[in-house]
Amino acid sequence: MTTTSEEAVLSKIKHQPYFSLRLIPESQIPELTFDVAKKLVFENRASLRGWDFPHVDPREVYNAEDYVFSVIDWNNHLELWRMYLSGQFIYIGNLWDVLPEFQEKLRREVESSRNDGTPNQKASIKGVTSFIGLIYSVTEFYVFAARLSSALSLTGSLDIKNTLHNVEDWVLGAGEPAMGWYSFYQSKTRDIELSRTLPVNELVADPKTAAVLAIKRLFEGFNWNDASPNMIRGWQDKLMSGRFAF
Amino acid sequence: MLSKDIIEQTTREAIKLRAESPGLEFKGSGPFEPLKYAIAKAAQGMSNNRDGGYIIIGVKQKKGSVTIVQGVSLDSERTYDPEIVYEFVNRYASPPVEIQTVSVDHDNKTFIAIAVPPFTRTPTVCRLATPPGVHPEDGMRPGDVFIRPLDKIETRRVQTGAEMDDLLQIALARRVAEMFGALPDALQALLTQIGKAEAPTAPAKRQPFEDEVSDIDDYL
Repeated sequence: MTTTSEEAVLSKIKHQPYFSLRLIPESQIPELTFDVAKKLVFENRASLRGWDFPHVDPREVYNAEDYVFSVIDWNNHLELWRMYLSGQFIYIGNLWDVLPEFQEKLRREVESSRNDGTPNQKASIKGVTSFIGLIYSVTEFYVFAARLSSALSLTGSLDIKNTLHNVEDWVLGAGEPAMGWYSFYQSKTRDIELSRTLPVNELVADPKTAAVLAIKRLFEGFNWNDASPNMIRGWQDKLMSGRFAF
Repeated sequence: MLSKDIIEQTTREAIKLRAESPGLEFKGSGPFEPLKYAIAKAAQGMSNNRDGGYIIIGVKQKKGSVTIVQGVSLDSERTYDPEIVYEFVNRYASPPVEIQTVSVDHDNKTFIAIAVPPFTRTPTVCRLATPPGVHPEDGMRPGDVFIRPLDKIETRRVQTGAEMDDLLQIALARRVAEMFGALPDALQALLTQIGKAEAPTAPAKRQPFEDEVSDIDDYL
């Protein structure tokens, strides 16, 4: 049963681009207590940049019927996560890029760039999202999934159901002022699904590499078919070189 | 233990990506003997990573991120006997690191992959000094705790309190998870023993994962 605070976030998020993530373990684990579920998310969150994933303020994590949850509604940034006592985890959160200050900057960047989009394509742009931000987000999802799997001592496989929603007619930008961005990649589908099932030991051994394939798939959803794994890896390394990286 | 398939798949992907990281170290082509100290040291550092890592022999990483994919010769490949590599690495590592050594074919070349799992409970510590004459870069002393730092691709000793703190945090998280994982079973056993509870006859029924998210499924 959705709580009132969750409903408030969901009603705001449903028309925006947002990520959903669902982690479903194959192996059974002993049912968690509320305290342990809360501690697991807090201790295994990925703190690779200014905002952790998932964001956890231990004072604002609450118990529901069979899960602990937290909602964020801060300065247009919306997030919701649940850690079920069964070991299942879900997350729903909008992109930082939809925040007006970021969106304005990204739009300016794309409009002023001499990219190769046709006039029709350019006229249809609904919004811009940074490809670097997407690399960071998906990498964080996988790092968290790996840490959680390890903490839960999962065996077998983990279902990672991950979708980027509401991105039809959105295009990719860079969001790095120093970087020239002359490409035009636009999504023509509403949702881009990146779901897969991974052996837990593979995920735990190298979550970054596991994320590369998902990120490539994500870019293909924007019709960027030749994104280089090396380029993705380079941005991942930049992300991971943060003080709190694993 | 990782399956051979997973090690092969990860190694091929790593070779394609051609970029070292704290969890991935390339070594140029060569037999085990001249590389053995560097491998033993790197394995200790990798095992102290949160997620372990891979050492791949047959790829040379030069300055400026230029990589040369060499592969190893048949003669060199034969020197990487998994048992010999395991025994040598664990002559220096305490507690032992459960490394796996696998030959991987990729693009008509052969590479050696050493998969290093993260430590399970206690961080890995060096327990033996390298003999005189070993290159200083590969030198090890008893009590050394090696890590793979995030700011530079290398294996080096813990140098700061923050680095030691990171390592202890990983160990603590593992122990907490282990403790909480074992607690329900231990409690049940205790209650059964003192007659306060019946021994479980079947695993408790759990609500299927799909049902759990039925109220929010439209958003997933």
